[in-house]
Amino acid sequence: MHFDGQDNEEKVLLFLRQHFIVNIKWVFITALLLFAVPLFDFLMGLGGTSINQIMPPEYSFILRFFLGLFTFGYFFENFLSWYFNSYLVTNKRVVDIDFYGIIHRRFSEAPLRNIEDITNSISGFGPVIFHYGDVSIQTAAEAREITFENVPNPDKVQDIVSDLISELKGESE
Amino acid sequence: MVQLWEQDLLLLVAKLFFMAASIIYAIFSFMIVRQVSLMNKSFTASLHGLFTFIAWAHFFVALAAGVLVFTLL
Repeated sequence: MHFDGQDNEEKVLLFLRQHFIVNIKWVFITALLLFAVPLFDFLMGLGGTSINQIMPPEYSFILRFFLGLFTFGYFFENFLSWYFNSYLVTNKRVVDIDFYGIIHRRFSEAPLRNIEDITNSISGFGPVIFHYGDVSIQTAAEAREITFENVPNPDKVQDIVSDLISELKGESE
Repeated sequence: MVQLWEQDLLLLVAKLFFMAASIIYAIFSFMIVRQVSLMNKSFTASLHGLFTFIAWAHFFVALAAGVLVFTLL
């Protein structure tokens, strides 16, 4: 794989996304939206009526069309946000690529030699059950902090990054 | 007579709502196209061609929805 701004001799050692379970909220909402129309039709049927008795058929058709389109757009936008929110560890630096919604992008990076402290935390029912959490990486440069949020196996990630830093500092000494 | 007038007014409000929604949604879907293009530049992966295709398809369906609203209602 290759990322934006990667140097020629730079190798990606770790590529991470948030644990898939963090998507449960929008997956659930998508499922609700998908079943909204059939459920509404079913309930109307129980009452002995139909949506075509409330509004003209062309309005009903447009309403269903828009609901379907909106459901897909909601699903697609959320999936893209999850898919492209990524964290990379290379042999030179750590990189955090964040996308929030469709109008915000943030690209943060910190050279491995500038990293001073790494902390991992697993907090809450979901994170404990599915074993995911945050890895906070503090750097010397102007008190910056990069956080890998909700990544699977944060303890292993911390271990790998720590080993890389030790190797790098061992080489330079 | 009053009921018919009220029904016409409701349909007019619904029509204006759908027109506004179709325009806003078309803009939203085009922003997704641009965002996918920006995201694809972040890192390379096997699914990028598929995402681009889906984003453009979504945009054209949104445009079609707009055309439907303006012609059908």
